[in-house]
Amino acid sequence: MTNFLRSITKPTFHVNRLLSLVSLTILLNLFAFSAYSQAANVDMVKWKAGKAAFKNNCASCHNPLVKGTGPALAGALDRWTAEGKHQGIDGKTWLYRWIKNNNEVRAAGNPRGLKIFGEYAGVAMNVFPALTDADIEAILLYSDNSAMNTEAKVEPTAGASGTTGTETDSAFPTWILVVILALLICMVFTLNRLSGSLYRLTKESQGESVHAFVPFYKNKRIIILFGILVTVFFFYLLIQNATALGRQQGYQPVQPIKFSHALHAGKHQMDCQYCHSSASKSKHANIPSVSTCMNCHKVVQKGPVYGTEEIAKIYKYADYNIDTKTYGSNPKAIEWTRIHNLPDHVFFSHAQHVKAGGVKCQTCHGPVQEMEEVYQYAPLSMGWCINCHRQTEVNFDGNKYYSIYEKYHKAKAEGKMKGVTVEDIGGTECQKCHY
Amino acid sequence: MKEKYFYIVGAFTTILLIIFLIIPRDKRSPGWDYMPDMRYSKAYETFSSVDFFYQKENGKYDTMSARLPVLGTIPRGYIPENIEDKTDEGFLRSFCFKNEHQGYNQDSAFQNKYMEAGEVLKNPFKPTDDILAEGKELYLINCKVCHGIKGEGNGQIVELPDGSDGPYTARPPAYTSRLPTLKDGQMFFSVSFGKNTMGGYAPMLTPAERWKVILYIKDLAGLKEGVTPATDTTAKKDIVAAVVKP
Repeated sequence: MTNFLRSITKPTFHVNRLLSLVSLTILLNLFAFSAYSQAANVDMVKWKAGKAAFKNNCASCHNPLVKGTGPALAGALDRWTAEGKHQGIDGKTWLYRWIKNNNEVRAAGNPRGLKIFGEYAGVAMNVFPALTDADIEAILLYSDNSAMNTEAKVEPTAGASGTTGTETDSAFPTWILVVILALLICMVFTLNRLSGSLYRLTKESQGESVHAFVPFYKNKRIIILFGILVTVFFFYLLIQNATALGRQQGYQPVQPIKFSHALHAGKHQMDCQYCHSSASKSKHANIPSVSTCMNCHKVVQKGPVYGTEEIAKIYKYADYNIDTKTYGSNPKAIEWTRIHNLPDHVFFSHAQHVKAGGVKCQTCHGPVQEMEEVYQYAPLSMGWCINCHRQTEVNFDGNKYYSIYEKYHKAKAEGKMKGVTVEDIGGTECQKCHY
Repeated sequence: MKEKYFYIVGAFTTILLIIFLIIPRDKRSPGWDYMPDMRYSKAYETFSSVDFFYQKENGKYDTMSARLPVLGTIPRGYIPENIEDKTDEGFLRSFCFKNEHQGYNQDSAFQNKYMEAGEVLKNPFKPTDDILAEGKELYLINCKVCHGIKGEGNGQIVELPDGSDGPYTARPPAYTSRLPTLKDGQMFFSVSFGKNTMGGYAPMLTPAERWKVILYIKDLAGLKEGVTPATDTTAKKDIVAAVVKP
């Protein structure tokens, strides 16, 4: 039996191995054909040194594969050697000289150097006299093979999805409870009806007089009780809806660009005030201009979710040509939809809260760093404002803004007051916000 | 007959209730208001689109409520209470130093202006503890993203916490490598109008804030010297006059 099994498994094993070998060679061939990413014959130690040197010296202006402030570096050596000899010196030597001090090469009248200088509108490259020939060799090796992945990255396991799965498993589904409850109520009604009928039948058989059967929907007591319940519930809903009218809690409009705060402020931990820079200076926390987006998206051209689709919209608004790296003359503002709208008869200043008060943005705007799409977190009602003003203690110590409240400082020093709330310094007076 | 009305009213109430319960609030709409004329401003709000300025020039539709200030407007903080004490020519010039290159393209005119800034502009602040603390606060908000906490060029979008490459591939050079070769004015120009892949921060930071950040950056790079403000008091009044005149 085992022999028989072996006779079957053995050849298939060989076939598998053969197949894997074939596929491996095909893969390798594919790698070899794709430009500048061949895996074979690359000195890994040198490659890593090149990567480090590239990051420290070149990366601020060059990218191996994408045109940045300077040209894409992949294949630079090939392009320089293809240029041929100039003044009896070969292209490789010229390139090495160019990297160390491009001014000298241009002064020597190298045609390729002058051409590149012209292509980039006369922006001179920095000089790197400290780089040795070995460094440059490593840098060029890295830039030709930059797409190669050396460190096998460990993919994060799906821990987050697992936890949510267990949560739903542990909780008993509510709809089953509802169905059981409905069945039980039905049973109560049918059994009640049944026992009533039986009771009447026995009474009738004994010859006693019986009241006529009244179904429950004609029973006056039940109708009155139901009427009261419905009215109470109706008024409850009416009040709820009436107070919600004019408040926009949960408002989540569709924005012109699918901008993710979860990615920018959450994953990449960019400060809120990087984009909303006037929050500490002005009444308004500004909506960033397109130039603020371009600060990073000149380089970051592809997003993790929508790829180039959403970022291309920024370029359209900025009138930026990604291929030529030039701006046009017709930029346009992005028409974002405003979410947090305070009524016109309320004054609110961001600067006062952020700068003087030191209030965290999340206090009013909620966990924006977790929002894929922003919604209004707080009700922004007057009761909500007043409540916070009553509860929040002002940071009296070391904040010069509050130095004029001498009475409270004295009371605090004497131990008469524990903390000074916003209400104490006039934060609930009508005229503070309505004038 | 009376009973019939009772049932009709009952049914109507129930239907209303069901409507209230079933129809959820549309999250894409701001909802209804009691008095829209009190809620929405008659005056133009800061970031809104208004018809008053509607103009079509060379195919441009401009309806932004945010307009450029009137010619000759003096920016906030431009003239401190006491000119003689608190400011100097280099600082005053940093308010009116314009970026004169075409669009945002960094051509040779841009380079010339950059070199000129190095000669003309001076930092009015001295690296006291207060100023450095303010500079640090601004640095952590605006610069840390790319330049890193210590100015090594490893900000959170350049290098992710696990050490792998972030989405921003243009790694800025460490401050210690490039900063010693630059003049204060050149740094100011770069912070204001951008340099290479870096964008301009003039929209986010006031000139005074930019100078404070520069002091903090120099402190990070270990450079202490070269912060001597100019003391020529005669020139500054001319500049004030020149700028105030529209």
